[in-house]
Amino acid sequence: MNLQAFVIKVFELHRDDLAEVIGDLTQDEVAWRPAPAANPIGFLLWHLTRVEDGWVQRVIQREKHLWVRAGWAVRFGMPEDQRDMGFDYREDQIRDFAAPSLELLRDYFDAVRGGTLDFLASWDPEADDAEHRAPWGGTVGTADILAQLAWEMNQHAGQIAYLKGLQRGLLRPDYMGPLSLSG
Amino acid sequence: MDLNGLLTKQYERVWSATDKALEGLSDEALAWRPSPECNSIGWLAWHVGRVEDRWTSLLLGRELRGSGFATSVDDQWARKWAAAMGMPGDGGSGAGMPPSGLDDFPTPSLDLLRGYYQAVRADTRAMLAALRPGMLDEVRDSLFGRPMVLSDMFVQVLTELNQHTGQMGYLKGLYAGYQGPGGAEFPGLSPKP
Repeated sequence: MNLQAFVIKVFELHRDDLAEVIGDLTQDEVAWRPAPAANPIGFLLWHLTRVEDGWVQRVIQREKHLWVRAGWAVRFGMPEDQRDMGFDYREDQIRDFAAPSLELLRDYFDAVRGGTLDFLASWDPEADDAEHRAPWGGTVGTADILAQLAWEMNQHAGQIAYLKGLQRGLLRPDYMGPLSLSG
Repeated sequence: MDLNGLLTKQYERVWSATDKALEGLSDEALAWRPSPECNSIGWLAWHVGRVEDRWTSLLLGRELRGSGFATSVDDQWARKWAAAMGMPGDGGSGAGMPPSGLDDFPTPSLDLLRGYYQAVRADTRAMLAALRPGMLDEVRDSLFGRPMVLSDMFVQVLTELNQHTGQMGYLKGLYAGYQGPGGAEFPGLSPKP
């Protein structure tokens, strides 16, 4: 297996694992927060999708975010602001964030992840020597961005699963990890 | 970057995220659970060590005992750290532990966790250094009681470990309350402070 195939597999597994965790959530569970300044599942889903949109569309491919380019901000009723990806929120912003509907969050995620997998389908790591502008200054290569993104995506997926368990209690005592039950 | 390089970077991200989550935690914070059916940071910290230890030892070709989910390998846990933490030196990683097991869990100290990590991470580095082109396509016995392609084992392990480090970070924030805008973290990418 090469780097391209491995990265595709990581993003596909993340997508499938996340879909299973959020599939049967109620809107109350999406909006629930364990403390007034703790992020609800609805924020985490929105944030992780905004982050992927920014990295893959804007930084890697020099396009506008799907957030503005494909009308998602309008559909969410939020400002068409590419810079707002949910980083660095003040306490009042966290408290005031109104969780969007699960359906809308899922549609936006599917659009963004679809765009990422489209990019990856024709990505050739060996031929890709592009240096992208990094938000912290300097430049960064495509493979490094994808590694960073996969790390962050799965951190948030873990948080979402934990928040579901915190609301529902122990759900799957036979669970041994995302690949344990399938081929 | 090739695939081996990516694997190394992703393990290093797991390690730095784990270390950062544990930094500055009291024994009380380590053992705290937001509900009786949820894991503490300390439990998760132990579990990520167990998961990495078991898979790494398997991939280093250490002896397998038993089969299936109960499979145990000759790992750092069995060699030293189970006794050091006062727990059974079996192949258990904590998966499927019932809430009563969480109630009785002897949360290890930060020092013990760090010692265990040091031993396991040295093994993981050796395991990664021994990977050769083509090996990732080999099919081998997995800890799931069925053969798996080696690259799939890495997808599985890194996904799981990353998920747990995210949980540890969230729990730390939940325990300590809002700490101010911390800024985006880009482990492995951003300049060191």
